[in-house]
Amino acid sequence: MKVDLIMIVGLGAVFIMLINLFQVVSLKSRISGGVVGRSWNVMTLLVVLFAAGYLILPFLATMPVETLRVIVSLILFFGAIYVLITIRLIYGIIKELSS
Amino acid sequence: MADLQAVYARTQAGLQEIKARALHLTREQRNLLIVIDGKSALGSFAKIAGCAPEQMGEVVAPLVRHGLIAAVGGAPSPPAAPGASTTGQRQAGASAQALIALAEQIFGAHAGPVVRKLEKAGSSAAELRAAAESGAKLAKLTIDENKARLFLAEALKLIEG
Repeated sequence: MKVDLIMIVGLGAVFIMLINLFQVVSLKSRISGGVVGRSWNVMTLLVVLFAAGYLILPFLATMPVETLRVIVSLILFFGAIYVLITIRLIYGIIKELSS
Repeated sequence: MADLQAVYARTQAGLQEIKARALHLTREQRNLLIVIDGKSALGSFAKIAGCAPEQMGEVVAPLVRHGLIAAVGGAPSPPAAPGASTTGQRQAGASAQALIALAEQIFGAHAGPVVRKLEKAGSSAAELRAAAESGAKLAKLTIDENKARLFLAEALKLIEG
């Protein structure tokens, strides 16, 4: 396995995603339901998926191009869903706090 | 079996018991003591007290015996409790504990953040109302929207006496 800049960036991404995973699971116990709780379950699932997906990053160089394209498109797709949920959640919080 | 149409009001001793927890009431008795408002029929509290209507007699009898609640005979507002202060400040002080107990009752193990908000609140009715509304918003966001609505409705009843 070749250690280069891409590998280092990839490992950094994995590390940060594992921190995200720890935090999203830790906060779950404090968010049992409500407006945030509903989104939190989906966000937790997405972070788990991301964390699992990111773990393959160190092996990207050994994968066929078609597999890489599928993986990247899936990461982009679920990334877009994650952003959508986050924006809607923030909107819901602002709406609730403004009422 | 208790008259489910009877109206009971909390006495000053009842307010003190909410704060002091000295009598080791059952959960149903404590729930009823917290929510009873001197306006609504006894039967309407069965669900929130956590018992069947036919069990209300067993729940209400010890509260009456200890002088924590008293029948108001259908009067629209509760009688002045013996020794009760007429200042809003003292009434609100007693209500702060009642609000915390109410939050613990409704939100159970998840009540912590709401309770902390109520503990930080001032003692006036306006401050308690603001804390209750803030706590209800927090609960709506992070605990349960229906429970948050129930908490706010019951909290406002307690604050407004």
